[in-house]
Amino acid sequence: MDSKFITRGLERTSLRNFSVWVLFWVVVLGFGLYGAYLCLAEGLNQTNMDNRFVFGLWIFLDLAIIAFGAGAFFTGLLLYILKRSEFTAVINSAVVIGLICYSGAVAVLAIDVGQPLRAWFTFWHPNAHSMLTEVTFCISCYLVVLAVEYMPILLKNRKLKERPSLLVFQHNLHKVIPVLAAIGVFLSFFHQGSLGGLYGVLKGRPFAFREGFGIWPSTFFLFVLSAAAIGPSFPLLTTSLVSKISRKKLVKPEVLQSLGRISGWLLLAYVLFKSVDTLVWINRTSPSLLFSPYEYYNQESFGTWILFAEIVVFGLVPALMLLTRKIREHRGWLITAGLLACAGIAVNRFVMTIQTLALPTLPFDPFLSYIPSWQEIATFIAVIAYGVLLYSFSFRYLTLFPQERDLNSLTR
Amino acid sequence: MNSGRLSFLAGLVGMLLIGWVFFPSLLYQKEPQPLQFSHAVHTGEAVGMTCDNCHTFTADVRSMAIPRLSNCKECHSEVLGESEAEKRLVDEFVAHDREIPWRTYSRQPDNVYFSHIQHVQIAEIECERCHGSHGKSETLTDRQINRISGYSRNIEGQIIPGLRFKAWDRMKMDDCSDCHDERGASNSCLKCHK
Amino acid sequence: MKSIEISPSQYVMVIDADRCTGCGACMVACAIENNVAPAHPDATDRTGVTWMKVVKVSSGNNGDGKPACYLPLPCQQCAAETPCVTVCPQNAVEVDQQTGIVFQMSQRCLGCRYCMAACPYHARYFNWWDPEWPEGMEQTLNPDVAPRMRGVVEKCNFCHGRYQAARASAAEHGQASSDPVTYEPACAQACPTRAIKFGTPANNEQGVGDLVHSSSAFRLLPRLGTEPRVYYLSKHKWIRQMAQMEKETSTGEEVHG
Repeated sequence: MDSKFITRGLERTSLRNFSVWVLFWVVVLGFGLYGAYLCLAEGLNQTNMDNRFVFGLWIFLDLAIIAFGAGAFFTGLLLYILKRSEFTAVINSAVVIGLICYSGAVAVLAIDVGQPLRAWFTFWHPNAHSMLTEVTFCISCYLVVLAVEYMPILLKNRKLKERPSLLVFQHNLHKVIPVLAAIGVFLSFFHQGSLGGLYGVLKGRPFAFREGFGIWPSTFFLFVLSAAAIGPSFPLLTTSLVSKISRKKLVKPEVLQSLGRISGWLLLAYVLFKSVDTLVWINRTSPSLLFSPYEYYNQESFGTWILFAEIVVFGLVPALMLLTRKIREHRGWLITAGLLACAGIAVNRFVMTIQTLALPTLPFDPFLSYIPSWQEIATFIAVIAYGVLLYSFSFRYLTLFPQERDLNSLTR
Repeated sequence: MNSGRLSFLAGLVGMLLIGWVFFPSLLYQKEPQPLQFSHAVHTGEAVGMTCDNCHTFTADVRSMAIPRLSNCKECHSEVLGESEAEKRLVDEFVAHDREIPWRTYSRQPDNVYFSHIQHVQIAEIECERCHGSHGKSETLTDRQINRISGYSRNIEGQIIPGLRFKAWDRMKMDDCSDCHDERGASNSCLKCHK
Repeated sequence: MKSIEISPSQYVMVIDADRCTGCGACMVACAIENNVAPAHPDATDRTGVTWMKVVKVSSGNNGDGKPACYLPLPCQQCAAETPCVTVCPQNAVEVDQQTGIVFQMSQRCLGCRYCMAACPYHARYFNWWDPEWPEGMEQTLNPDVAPRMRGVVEKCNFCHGRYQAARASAAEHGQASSDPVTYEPACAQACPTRAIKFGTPANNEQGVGDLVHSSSAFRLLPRLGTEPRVYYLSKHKWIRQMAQMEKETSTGEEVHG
């Protein structure tokens, strides 16, 4: 029934199936939005955050999905600036994922602050010394860039293309996309870094505090590198997931392997720098503030295993897996490695946010724990539902994977 | 000029009129003063009073008080002239010993700490610097209260585009801090906010 | 660490930990002075607003005659590298150069709570609920202190409303606004054992000029380099060592407030 909207040559599930799928996620979205509404209307007392645990689930997941969203800028970098044309196959999907991640993160941040209506204060009275100012400016700008990058993908819809004016607009937009991609790369480098800097500059939190170069603590560079490292891994995972759900071949396996290999090298570099950084921190930074680093890992469930997991299990292991040709060429192992890499970055973001806040600084302060409330979880579920819906519509009616038509006609 | 441009201009003018003329009357609630009063008569040649004859420091020395009935009664225990307002003063307020519920034009928002004594006595700033020619006014205008913020329009200023031509056109934070800058006074938040 | 980089004309607070009995009078006086609304029924010790918070620290086994002590914790008014000032994205926190008071502009605050994450002393509080006063009790509000709304951060500012009042009455006596004035914060005034002293070292009001140099004076977490303007006094070595993290392990962890 809606076939005249679907790109010629692509096969999509029946409208009935699609409606059921959409309906399910709309219900989930509705539930999530109710939780978010409670947080806005009743206040942040609906969450389980408190004066000591000032950030919780939201900040952790925001940092994580912004890192995952790095796929958009990194694929753009590879394709438009480093001229690796094979990544045309995934760029559209990466842009949509990036848009979802960033818009979702910004929406959650707006709920996370106590006075969302004062959000413009940061633009009106900016404090140039604050990492958060930089993050706010950069993410806002980059969200606009992503929205503009999404436009040509949207305008290539079969029905929209029929209007000549839109076609001309789309064509002109397409010419500036490499420029936008370059701006996106620049903005991404800065805000991914500043997100790391957010915690690295906190001298009052010796667990997170890192020395660095100039005004940037080492976490600034580590966050940039780690975001770049999973930049290729996350599109690899999402593409495989979409391929599984839609039962379609979407990109040539070589493209995914190529993504995996780049991810592997960057991840290896990240693990190396992260290890050096950790050693400097354990042996110099933290002791100079009179905080014994062993105390941090002496607290309840947060043992040294978390450090081991972050650097070795979810860092070194996937890096080596992705760099081994045999493993990379096996689809299942490739996905496993990508999954491990993404999990490693998530663990890193968890450590920097949640563990930092759980650890005491005052000598008589206790270790604290925190469990998110259902409203916090619901708000995040809303973002996931929104993402699934936006992606589903984009996948059905737009051309996210240019190779799909050829790949599937070959097999038939 | 083609019709497209004409309608654009008409629309622009229309919107500006709505924004600058109609909207302020919607935003500000007018509250008339309980009694008419001419500052000019009192500060003029014939009477020759000064501001601080009636506006004295309050007990906590931070504000200049709005005159109380006792200030008026010093002269107006009975009708002296022919004005209607004075007759009302004597009949309605003096005779019943009832305070006049004046409406203050320049009360600052709740988060502002303003101390008159530091400005008037230590820094020796003239009343006119902030209050303009109010001391020479013939009548008392209606007080206009912002329906949203509850602040007097004298704080935000009468000029809608937010311009300031004279020092007393507005009493917003930037106007305070400009003067502090000129005089080398501190502009730290804590100086004026509470 | 005995580096004192604080300008002698700026205010300091000296709290005698040996004199503090943990009665909590300072906390009550502080809340009343600074228009802190009565706690919401669902508030906990981690979601309430207590600009001044008294914590109990147990010595463990090495108490040398003092098994536990109480430490009143107001904002430490850090003089150097003030952690909350640099992180605020919209300049809602400021150190006043004349008084040294770290001032939170709640009207400018967005409620992002980054300053709370940055504060090593956990001296900042977020308004998780709308402040509500039982009917009639709003009459007791202090007109010198602006109440704060839901969703913003607030903290101790050395009773800045009292400072302003002192400033005004000093002006009445012809004192220029650059001269320091003498006043006493509510917590210091309410303390029944006079454990809290307040003033400027230059004028040595209440003896603070001498006390900050005494051998029993210490500050919390001095190695962070924040140079707090709140000093503590104790004759007990374990208390001084504990607060400065000079020992390998700290034992007491029982907190009440």
